[in-house]
Amino acid sequence: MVALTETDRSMGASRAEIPDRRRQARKLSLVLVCLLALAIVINLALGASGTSLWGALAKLASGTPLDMMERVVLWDIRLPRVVLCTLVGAALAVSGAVMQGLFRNPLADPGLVGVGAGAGLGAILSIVLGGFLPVALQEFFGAYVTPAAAFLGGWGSTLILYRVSTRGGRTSVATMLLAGIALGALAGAVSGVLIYMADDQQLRDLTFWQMGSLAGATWEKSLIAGPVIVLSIAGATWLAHGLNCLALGEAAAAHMGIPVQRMKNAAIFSVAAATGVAVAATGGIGFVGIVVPHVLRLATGPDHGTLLPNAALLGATLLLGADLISRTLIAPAELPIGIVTAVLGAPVFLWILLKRRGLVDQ
Amino acid sequence: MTLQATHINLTLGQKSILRDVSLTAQAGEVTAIVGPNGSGKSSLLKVLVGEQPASGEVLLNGQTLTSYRPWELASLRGVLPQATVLAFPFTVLEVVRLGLAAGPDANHPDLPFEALAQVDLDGYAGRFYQELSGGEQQRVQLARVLAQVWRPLREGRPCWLFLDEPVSSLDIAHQLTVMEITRRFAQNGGGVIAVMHDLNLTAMYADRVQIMHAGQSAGAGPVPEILTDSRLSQVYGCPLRTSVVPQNAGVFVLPQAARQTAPAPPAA
Repeated sequence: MVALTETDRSMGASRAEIPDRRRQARKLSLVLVCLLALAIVINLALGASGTSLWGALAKLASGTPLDMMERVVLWDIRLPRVVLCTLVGAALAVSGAVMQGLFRNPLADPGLVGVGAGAGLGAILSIVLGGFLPVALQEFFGAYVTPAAAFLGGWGSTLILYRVSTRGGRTSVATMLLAGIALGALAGAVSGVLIYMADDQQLRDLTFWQMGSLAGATWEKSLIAGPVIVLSIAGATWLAHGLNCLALGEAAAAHMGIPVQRMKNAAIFSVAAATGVAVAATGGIGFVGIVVPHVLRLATGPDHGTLLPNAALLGATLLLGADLISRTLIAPAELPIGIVTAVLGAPVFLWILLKRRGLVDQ
Repeated sequence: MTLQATHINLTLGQKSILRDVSLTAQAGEVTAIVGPNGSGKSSLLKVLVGEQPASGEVLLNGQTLTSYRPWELASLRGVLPQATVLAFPFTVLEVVRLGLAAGPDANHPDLPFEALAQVDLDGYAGRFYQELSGGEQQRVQLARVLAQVWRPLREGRPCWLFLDEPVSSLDIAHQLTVMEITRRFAQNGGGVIAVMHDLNLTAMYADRVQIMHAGQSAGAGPVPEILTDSRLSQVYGCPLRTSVVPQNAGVFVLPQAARQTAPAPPAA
């Protein structure tokens, strides 16, 4: 054995030539932080009403009180929407990356494999049947009922999905995608029955919610979603080393000192929590969870230690961009943001399939 | 210090995989597990590393496997699987660094390069793992395991390497390179347990052999006692003779001959 202190100097040259993807990823983080800040400012500045962010800021700086219009547009409409959009974008991208690490496949995405549908079912259940809860419970949970139900739905479907598609520590991609279709269909059918049962007011709520829109963003929704999303993203980055080891297989990860079962439970919990509150707040927004991690892996590699934080930043930026398009393309009407992300994301997904067919045909 | 497995029984479904197998491996030695296909070699190794629950007892350095915390076990022993498919496009260096981070030497950034040099993959650090050949991937995995368990002895206690067919997909030169690594690890006080198919390499490098036959141990001991004509013929179901130069056999290549003409491993 070579002693630890002994290094081969002749190898110095070849080592320097190896691109250090960790350093590149950290540089990319800085760029992404700037892009996110830019996107936040643009989204605050632009909107259907034509209210000027700069005018309002100038008033604030000079101590002049804002007029009613400025207060409502900036503080009650645009700012909560930007906050919720940032949170949800980060949640969707990080959930996608964690799920892909957990299933060891770049095609796993909560929206595609039925987790989003399960969370949606939970949300619909709470909207339609929430009235049957005892009044005391309703008052206790208040606005948390729908997010909590969405979380439970997402959690249950992730557990079923993992159970069905993973045998002996190996995940079958075909089984995972097919099980996702089945789960999605089942959730859709039950949701259909519930929609049939719903009264007019509930139907309005449901339709609004199902379109996948940020138009309903309020401070209350942001305050509910915020802590859950921030905690689950923080928890996910804490799992980064475990997810890296898991890429070698469950057995190898265990031999590398990872408490695999506990880590998988934590990952599933974090995915379900983030997806659940995101779906409850904004409905189904697809493809962010698959496009963002894929682009980042191409750019700086699959190390989850840098992939997860960068996914949060890029996911938030991307969703702010999509929201800007959805608000301004046919203003003053709005395009549901789910349509924008699908138009942008679905071709990327097809491109991944085309380039790396081996992912599915194993 | 030893690895000691006693009365291991393993049944999967209706099928009995291992029946009352016991195995003792000493630190400072290379212990080989040999036997025909399906005789339970790899299953036994999986039980020894705790990957496959089975009845019986496995003691590593005198303690049961379950009494160690996951990270303690990871700093005490490395496990090399037969083949590893990677889910994402990691580079060779990133794979070896995963092993480094799992072991107790995580603050030695040069160690992955030294581990790669040992397995004759100098200059491969920046390459993509998924683009390498099977044999090269196998050596990257060995480098990862070595980066995790770099020192054969830690605070006076032996560390262990568990290798499942470490040379099965390698050319003869790299088979010798890898077996030399196992021998050095053992000579410096560590313990090595390897599932082997190649009986010549086993004879050259193993201190002890455990031979498996239909889920049972068919003998354990030093090489000359175990690799005998009658035992091998019976276990492998094929008339075999050891140390006999065949008459009129044409060309044959033995790893033993490579060792005599070039004492240093070819790649070092």
